[in-house]
Amino acid sequence: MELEIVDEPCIVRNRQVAPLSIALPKGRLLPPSLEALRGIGLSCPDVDELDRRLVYEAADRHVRFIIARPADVPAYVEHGAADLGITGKDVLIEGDWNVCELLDLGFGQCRMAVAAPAAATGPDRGTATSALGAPRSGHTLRVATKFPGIARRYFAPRRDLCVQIIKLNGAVEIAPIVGLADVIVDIVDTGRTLADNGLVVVDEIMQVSARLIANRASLQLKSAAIYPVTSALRARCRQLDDSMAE
Amino acid sequence: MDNLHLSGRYYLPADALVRRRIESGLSRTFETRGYHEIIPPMLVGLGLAQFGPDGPGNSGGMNSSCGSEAAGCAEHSGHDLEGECTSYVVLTRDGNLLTLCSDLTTPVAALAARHLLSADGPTRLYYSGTVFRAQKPGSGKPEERRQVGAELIGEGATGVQADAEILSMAAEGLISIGLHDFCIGLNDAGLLSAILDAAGARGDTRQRIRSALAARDYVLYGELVSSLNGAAAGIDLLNRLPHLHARAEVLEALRTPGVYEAAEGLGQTLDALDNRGLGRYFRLDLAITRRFRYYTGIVFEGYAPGCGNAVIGGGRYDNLLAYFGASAPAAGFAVDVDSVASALGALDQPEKSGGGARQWNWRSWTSPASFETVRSRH
Repeated sequence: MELEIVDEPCIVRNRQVAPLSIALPKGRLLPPSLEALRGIGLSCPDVDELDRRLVYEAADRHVRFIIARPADVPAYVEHGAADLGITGKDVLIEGDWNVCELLDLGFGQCRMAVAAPAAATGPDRGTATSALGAPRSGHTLRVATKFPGIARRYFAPRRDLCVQIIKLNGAVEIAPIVGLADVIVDIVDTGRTLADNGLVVVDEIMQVSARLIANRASLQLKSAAIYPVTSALRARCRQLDDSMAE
Repeated sequence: MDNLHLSGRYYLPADALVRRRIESGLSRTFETRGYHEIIPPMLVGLGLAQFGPDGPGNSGGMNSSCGSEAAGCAEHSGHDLEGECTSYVVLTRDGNLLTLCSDLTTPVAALAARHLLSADGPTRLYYSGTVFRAQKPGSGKPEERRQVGAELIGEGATGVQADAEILSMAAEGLISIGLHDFCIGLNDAGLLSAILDAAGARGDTRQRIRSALAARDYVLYGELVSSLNGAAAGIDLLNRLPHLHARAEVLEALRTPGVYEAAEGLGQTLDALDNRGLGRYFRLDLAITRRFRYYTGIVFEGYAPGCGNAVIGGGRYDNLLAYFGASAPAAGFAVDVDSVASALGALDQPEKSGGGARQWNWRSWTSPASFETVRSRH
């Protein structure tokens, strides 16, 4: 893509402008992220290429890609190691990062939900919501999650519950099975993993999707390079929305 | 075992030298412009914390319920979630509560209001000091920040002339210590209110739009704006607000009815900066909302390549002194010394520093002796 230089009184003049660096999330968000960037005309490496190299510079040297874990993407962006980044809304809410959230990219949609063992929420033990409403009285509700911040905020208004939050780094679904926790707070995509582990969703906390984020300093200093990328992505999202609606 | 690693930052000789140069360079610039140094305290009464970053109601401008210092404290402790209170509180031996300054403008304003105002003209003050803000563990942000700031306070410290004095001194200060590529974004705190009025945003939605903009969550911001049903021109301006860049474009957009009057001062201030040959360091950015809720007029923050944080921030705070018993206009700014240092560091080695990476001599690296104690904990 031609990065067009717009009227810019503040652009760095006396030195070569550094390439635009974009932090991309490893894992399930990577293929749609690359597709979106390719869709607006950036020359992107393919997934296999990125599996081998964690930093990739495009041939024209205008753009550099950094591959990071989704939870780490905001750290690269907040500290300015990357100008732009793509990561899930869940990560952004959990960390309370000082970054600009520019765009809902529309892909990677899933739910942040509270899930409990189906056995504990079955008809004989009351409805799904009452599983949370009246956990075994006199007991602390143990919550296993990768998102302790979100879990804490979700349960905070429930003054009647005594909640213990246990931070895990993955495979949260097994926590109720092995007796580590009573419920989990986790990302639910298709719900298959939950079902496989005998869990059902008892409450949805929020919808999440992939977001485009930017470093605050870069927005000021490199706006001539960032602006065409964000507006092209915004136009692309709108187009996809429209074609979905039809 | 000592817990040296839990302390604030130690400045090793090379870093200390950089910091000293920055501070003395800025001091010289301020002194030649007739500013006098004062030294604010590190410990102040807890009431001052309410004016700092993340003080109660920071997104909504000052409201009357925070008028008394006691009310401010009560509200502060009410924020039990998400660690919104970032001030450090110190318990004195006789049971009083003090706070480590989380910003220096407030104590300087309090001091000026009580002792330094004159009927003849504005008081010009500068200071260097340390501010303390609690950070989340692992965030990599310093809890102690070194600042050098200047404040123009009192009779006559108002209007375009005073704003231009503060802004041009901000730019000249940064130039004097060797920064040249910086960019200062300029906005007016009153502008957003005028635009929100024009777009018919009221009550809860208005508050939520403000806080979404302050958090730079443009996704939520866009959703909230699209739910409004006021004048089309106002809503259109709100929609474009985060994406306006070039100066002509912004000034053109501000010709919306009901907004133009509030924006007039900004245009004049920019003209004044152009006349001083400093216009190229400034740009309009209508999305700037500082985390301090005392600003009433111009607000600005500046960035430089090589540093992800703002190197400078400030604005006009005409109502703050009234809280300390003297009504007077005022404007000022503070330079973040550590951020300037990392921007200067990036200047020294433009090719190698991707984000302020430093040169280490790995050959001389030895495992720290204390590593055994790390191991023995597991």
